[in-house]
Amino acid sequence: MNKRNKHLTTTLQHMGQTLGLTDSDITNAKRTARSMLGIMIAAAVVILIGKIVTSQLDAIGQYYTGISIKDFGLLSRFF
Amino acid sequence: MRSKNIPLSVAWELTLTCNMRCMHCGSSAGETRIQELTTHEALTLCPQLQELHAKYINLTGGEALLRKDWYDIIKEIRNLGMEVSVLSNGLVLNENIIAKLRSVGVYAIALSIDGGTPKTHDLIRGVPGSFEKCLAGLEALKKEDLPATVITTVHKGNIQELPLIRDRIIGKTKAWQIQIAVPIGRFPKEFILSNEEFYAVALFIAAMKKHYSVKELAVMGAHSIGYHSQVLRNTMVSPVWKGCQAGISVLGIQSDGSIKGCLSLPDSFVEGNIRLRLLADIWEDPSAFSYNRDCTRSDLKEHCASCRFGKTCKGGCTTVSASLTGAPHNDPYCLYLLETQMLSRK
Repeated sequence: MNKRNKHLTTTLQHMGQTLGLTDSDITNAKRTARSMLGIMIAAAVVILIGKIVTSQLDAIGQYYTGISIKDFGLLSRFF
Repeated sequence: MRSKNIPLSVAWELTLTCNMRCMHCGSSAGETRIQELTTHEALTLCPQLQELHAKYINLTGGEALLRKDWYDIIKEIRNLGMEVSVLSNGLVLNENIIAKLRSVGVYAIALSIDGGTPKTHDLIRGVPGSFEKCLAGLEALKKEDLPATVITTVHKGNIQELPLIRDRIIGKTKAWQIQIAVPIGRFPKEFILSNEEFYAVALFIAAMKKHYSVKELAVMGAHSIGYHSQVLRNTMVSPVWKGCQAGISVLGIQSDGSIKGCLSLPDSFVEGNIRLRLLADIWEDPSAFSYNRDCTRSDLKEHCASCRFGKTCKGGCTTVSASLTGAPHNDPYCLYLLETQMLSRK
């Protein structure tokens, strides 16, 4: 582990302790290559749905269209 | 041609009347607002929302369920094909209200739980016994198979109890939204989270999102907890942050008919009133909501001005930024900013 990562991990562990987080929780909270890939896929799905549903519209479709508590489950799997 | 901006998500304050006196309440709710909309005016507003293609109407307060005509308003919204969620403090929930909510088909009922112990929750909410009442309401909603969710507003007075709250609500709710309190309304400044505490909340959310499956407990940070973390998993519901959506895809309606981009914003952001103009006229006004609709990089302040994510992020949450710094587009509660500071401090 390089110096930067060690410093980061120590800082996060210190912060996490106050909220009852274990070292394992801290590790799980960090993003990984897999979670980043997941988020990219999820983002692409959201943007695609937005573009299709609200074609010719800008920001709105990309953000909210298709997202509600109903489909939170589907999207959240990728996070 | 339809507008480029559509109020897909609408937060509608049905009334400012409230049976609690929460210390963090951004609306300083309690007494009824002067000149709240009449039943006729509220029902007339519903088709105006439909006309603008609103999709999700989130009814809030005060305590929304204290308004005598809440059921008629929800029925009208549902009849017009829009989805409804209700945010409640849980104090007035009873069998009759639950049956009505069930009959009308709401997509979520969010209850506020701000402490993991009766002492903390009741102190924050100003009503002894409200913690047990709220948990009982949660149980009753679950029993009726209604989609109950929990919202927790975090500040110095309850941050330590996040794990306790989690333990009390697990198995009783579909989702848990965690949001931060900011100094608007009656929230005392001395309870504002420090940067480290804010980051710890984000860390907690990221850890819990990984720890629990969506079926067990869908944990989500509100839109004000996030932005381009290079360390943590996504803390928000949406996988993409496209900047504050007030006036773009989000609309706020005060109980007196005043219109804002987001209900959380201070009154200086009011764009008009539906008693004076049609909602569509306010929404489509080329000069309205300019703080977001016309935002360019040159509007970004301080650290956001030079940030590599600035163009799309637009400086985070407008309400948080305005309440903490006095201006939009400069949200200091930014994970990317805090990580940069954290790593440069050795």
